[in-house]
Amino acid sequence: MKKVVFATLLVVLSFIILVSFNDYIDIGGITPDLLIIVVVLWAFSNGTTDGLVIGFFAGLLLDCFFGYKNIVGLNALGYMFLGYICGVAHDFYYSNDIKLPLFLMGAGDFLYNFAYYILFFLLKNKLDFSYYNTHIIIPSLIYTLVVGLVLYKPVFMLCKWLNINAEDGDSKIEETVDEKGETESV
Amino acid sequence: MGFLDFRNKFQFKPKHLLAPLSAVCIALIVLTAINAKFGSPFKTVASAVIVPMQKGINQVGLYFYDKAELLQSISTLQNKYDELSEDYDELRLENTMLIQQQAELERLRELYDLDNVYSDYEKIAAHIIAKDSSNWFTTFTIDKGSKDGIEENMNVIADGGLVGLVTYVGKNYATVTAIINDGVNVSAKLEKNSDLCIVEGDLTLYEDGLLAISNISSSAEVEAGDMVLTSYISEKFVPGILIGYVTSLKTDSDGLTQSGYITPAVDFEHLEEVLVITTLKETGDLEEEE
Repeated sequence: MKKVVFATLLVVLSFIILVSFNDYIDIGGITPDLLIIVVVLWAFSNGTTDGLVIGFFAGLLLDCFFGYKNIVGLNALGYMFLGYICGVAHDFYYSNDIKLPLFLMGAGDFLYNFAYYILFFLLKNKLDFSYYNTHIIIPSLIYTLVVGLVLYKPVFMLCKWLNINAEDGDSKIEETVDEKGETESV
Repeated sequence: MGFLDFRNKFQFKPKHLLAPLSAVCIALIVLTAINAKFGSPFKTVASAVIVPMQKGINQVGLYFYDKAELLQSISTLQNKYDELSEDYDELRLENTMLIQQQAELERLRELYDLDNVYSDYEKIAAHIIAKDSSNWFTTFTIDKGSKDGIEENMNVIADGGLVGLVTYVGKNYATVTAIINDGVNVSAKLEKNSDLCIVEGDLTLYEDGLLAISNISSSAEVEAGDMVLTSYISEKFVPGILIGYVTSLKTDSDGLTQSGYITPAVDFEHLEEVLVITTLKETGDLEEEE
C-alpha cells in the first residue's frame, strides 16, 4: 500500500515538474524525460509487475494530456514495455551497480525518441535523421542520463526502504511464486 | 491479504498482466484514432486530479516569478526610462500623424464594411498551466475548458499574433496545438497584395524561431518585413489574424512559386497568457453536424 502511494506521488510529482516547470528546467529547448527515469528506476528496483504497472500509468497520464492528435495509449504501451523490460533486468541482476540502470535509462530514452522520429517525422517524409539526432535525441539522452544519475540514489534508497518496510516482504513472495510458476509450466 | 491469496492460487505472473494491458493499450489506440471521444473518460479522471495541482503550482510559480522580476527590473527600468524618453518625442510626432490616418481608415472601413476584422472577435483570456514535456511537439494546456465556453478548433492568439488551435477540450482545461508544431499548416495571405500562401511549422527551424512559408506565386512582389495574415480560405483559422513577418524569400526551382521563412509575431518561448477567440470559423461542410 505504501508502495502504491509513493509510486503515485513520484509519477505525479515528476509529471507536474515536467509540464509546469518546463521553462525553468529546459536547456536549449530540451527537457529531460523525467518519467522515463522514474519508470526505469522503479522497475529496476521493484521487478516486472511494479515496472509494468507504473509504466502503464505514467504513459497513460502523458497520453491524457499530450497524446499525439488526442490518441490515448501510445505512450502507455511504450512506457509499460519499458517498465517490464527493466523489471526483467531486476530479476537476474540485483546490486548497487549503477551501470545497468543507467544503460537501461539511456536505451529507453533513445528508443522512445527514435520511435517518435520514425512515427511522426520519418513517415511524413522528413528524412534528415542526423539533424534530429544531433539536435534532439542526443541532447535529450545526455540530459536524461545526468538527471538519472542524480536521482538514482534517492529513488533506489526509497525503494529499498519500502521493501524492507513491507512486513510480508512483498518482493520475496513474488519471486517464489515466479519460480513455482515456471517449474510447473515447464 | 486477499490479493496475495489470489496470486498464490492462480500462479500470478507479470506476463498475465502485460498481455491484457497491452491489449487495452492497442484497443485504446485504435478507438481514439477513430474518434477522440473514446479517450475522454481517462482524460476526465486524469484532469480532475492533475489540473487543480497545476493551477495551484502555476499560481505559486507566478508569485515568485513576479518577485524575481521586480528586483531585476528596477535597475533595468532606469536605463529603459532614459531610452524611452528619447523615443517619446519622436513617437508623439508620429502619433499625431497616425491619428489622422486612423480617422481616415475608420471612414474607409465603414465604407467597405470591413469592420469585422479581428479586433471585433470575442475573446476569453486564459493562463497556460502546462507545456508538453516531449522535445518533439509544442502543445499547451490552458486553464479554461468547456465550462468556460471553449470549444474545439477555436483560434488562440497572444501578443496580437496567432498562437494555435484548440485541439482538445476538457471540462476545466483545454489543449492548444501551436502553429510552430512540425507539420501544422496554416493557409495564409500576404497583407500587402493578398497573395495566398501556406505557412508551415518545422522542427528544424524551431531553434531559429522561424516558420516556413511556401506557395507564393513568383510574380508577387514581397519584401522582408511584410505582414503575413491568416487567409479567408483557411478551414479552421478565422481570417485576418497576424501570423508573422516575412524574413527571407527565394524563388523555387520550378520558377513558379516562391518560398522562404517568416518570423512569428508571438514569442512562443515566453508565453504565459493567451486569448481564445470564441468565434468559430464557419465552413461549408457544417452539414456534417447532426
